[in-house]
Amino acid sequence: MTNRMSRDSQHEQAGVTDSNHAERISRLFSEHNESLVKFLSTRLHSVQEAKEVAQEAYVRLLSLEDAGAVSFLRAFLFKTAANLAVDRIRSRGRQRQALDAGLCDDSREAPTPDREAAIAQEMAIVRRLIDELPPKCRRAFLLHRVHGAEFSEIAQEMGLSERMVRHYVLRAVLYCRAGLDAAQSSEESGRG
Amino acid sequence: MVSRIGEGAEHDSVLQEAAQWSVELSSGDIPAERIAQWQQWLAASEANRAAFDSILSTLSAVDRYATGTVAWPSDEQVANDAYDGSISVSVWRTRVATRRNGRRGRAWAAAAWRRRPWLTAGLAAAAVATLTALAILPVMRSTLFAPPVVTVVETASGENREVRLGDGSVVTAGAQSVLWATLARDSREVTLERGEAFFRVAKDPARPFIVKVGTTTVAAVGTAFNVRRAGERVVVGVAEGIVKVDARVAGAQSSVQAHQQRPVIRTARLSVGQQLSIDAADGSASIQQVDAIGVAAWRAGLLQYRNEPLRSVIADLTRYSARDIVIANPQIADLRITGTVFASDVDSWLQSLETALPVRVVWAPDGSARLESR
Repeated sequence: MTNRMSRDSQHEQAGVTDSNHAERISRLFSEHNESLVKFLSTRLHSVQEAKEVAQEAYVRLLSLEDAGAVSFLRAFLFKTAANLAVDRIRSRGRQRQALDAGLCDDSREAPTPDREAAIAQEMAIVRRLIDELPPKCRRAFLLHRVHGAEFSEIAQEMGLSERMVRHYVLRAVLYCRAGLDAAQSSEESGRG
Repeated sequence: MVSRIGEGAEHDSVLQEAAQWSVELSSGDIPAERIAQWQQWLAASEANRAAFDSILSTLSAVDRYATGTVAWPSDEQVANDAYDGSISVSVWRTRVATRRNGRRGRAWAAAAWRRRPWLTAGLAAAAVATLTALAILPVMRSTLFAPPVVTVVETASGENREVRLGDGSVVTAGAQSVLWATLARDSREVTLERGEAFFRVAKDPARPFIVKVGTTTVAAVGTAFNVRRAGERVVVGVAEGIVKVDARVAGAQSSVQAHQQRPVIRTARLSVGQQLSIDAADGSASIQQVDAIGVAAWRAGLLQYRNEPLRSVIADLTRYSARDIVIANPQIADLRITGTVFASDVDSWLQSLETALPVRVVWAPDGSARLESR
């Protein structure tokens, strides 16, 4: 592991000398975009949102005066993206209010009846799985996912250690994954 | 419903890693080197990438649907909840259900006792009816009215516990072990989630006795055997009879190619005194001849290891030792260990490692022991 890391940074050091700023950032972006979107997806509510934030982070990076070493740039890229994600989560509440007031129009295609039934079914499964979680675990998980609260905030609010909050979230994610898998396989065997 | 627990994602080690990463990445300030380590983990295998994507799709399903009227727990529910995250949610749910069933069972028995005068009085008159009912009852009981009976066993550090199951089989769980046994009409299944257990199986050719441990399945008809789990490593030893082991392991011996190959099933038949070690992570498996009595010597406090990597020995010993034992350098983790450790005195054994292996033991102020290479 150490080997691979040092080779990686050598490669990046070499990159600093032979390309200009924009090229460097563009390469950094193409190398890391996939994992950046995954990283952001853990914090945001959709891949689409994650892609938008990744794009925004890229623009921020381009506007940097002096970029310095690329190893710094990578850290900066993820850091910038994380900050942008926080902004987005904070503005989500405001957006929802605006949507309720009819100020925003979310114009997407209406789903077909089949798709609608599938969505309703998936929704019922997800809600059942959440409902089945132990109460503390459920509250921590919902605070984290629905309210976008930081682990430290949840820990403080619930009077738990941050480690315990992380543990609850981990258990909840795995339980939901297992439940969705089980629902899917029983649906498949039902069809066959 | 109950029989489904233990299967699927919740106990899959790659998914567990993926979920762990998702938790770490999803909040707060994460150091750049952790991001780099995560990227390496992601790039290391197709399986890792697929697992991470599957966790992401779970999160997005939750985010999409857990809005509006989703059921938040009440303050009272939260205050009364004792779940501490040390076991999976499925295991927790099974245990809650087992307790509830236990209460219902006792309540029913008490009610039957109160009805007894009526039963005695009507006994003679009902004799004929009873004979008919007796003929039907077992059938009805077994097909309609017999839900699987689930027994959950969980032991603390340094504690061994013997439990007799409904079929007469006896399970001895080692320290810090979690297992649950599901006895149904046509099957007997035990899931060993963590730790070690010795099984003395009651003969019942109609109901095979199966132990699931990670991706490995151990099947027996009337025999005595031991199963131990430490991370990805599973060790099965036979004291009596024959067992059949099916292990789903990584496809290639070479760890470089491991991620490119599909998992393969390895099957082995073990007889008395044979011990099979499987490492699901690198696909390695080997059979050794051991002392049939030594297979479960741990029940007497003697922990025996034969040609096992230091990392799995340490993982096993931490179940018996109050202190954390850390392997500080990866290059010593695969050093081979053959020997006996007294469960009551793990410390002396650790100290003695210095004379046998190129390691140094550092006793840290926080009570943990660090094994460093020297």
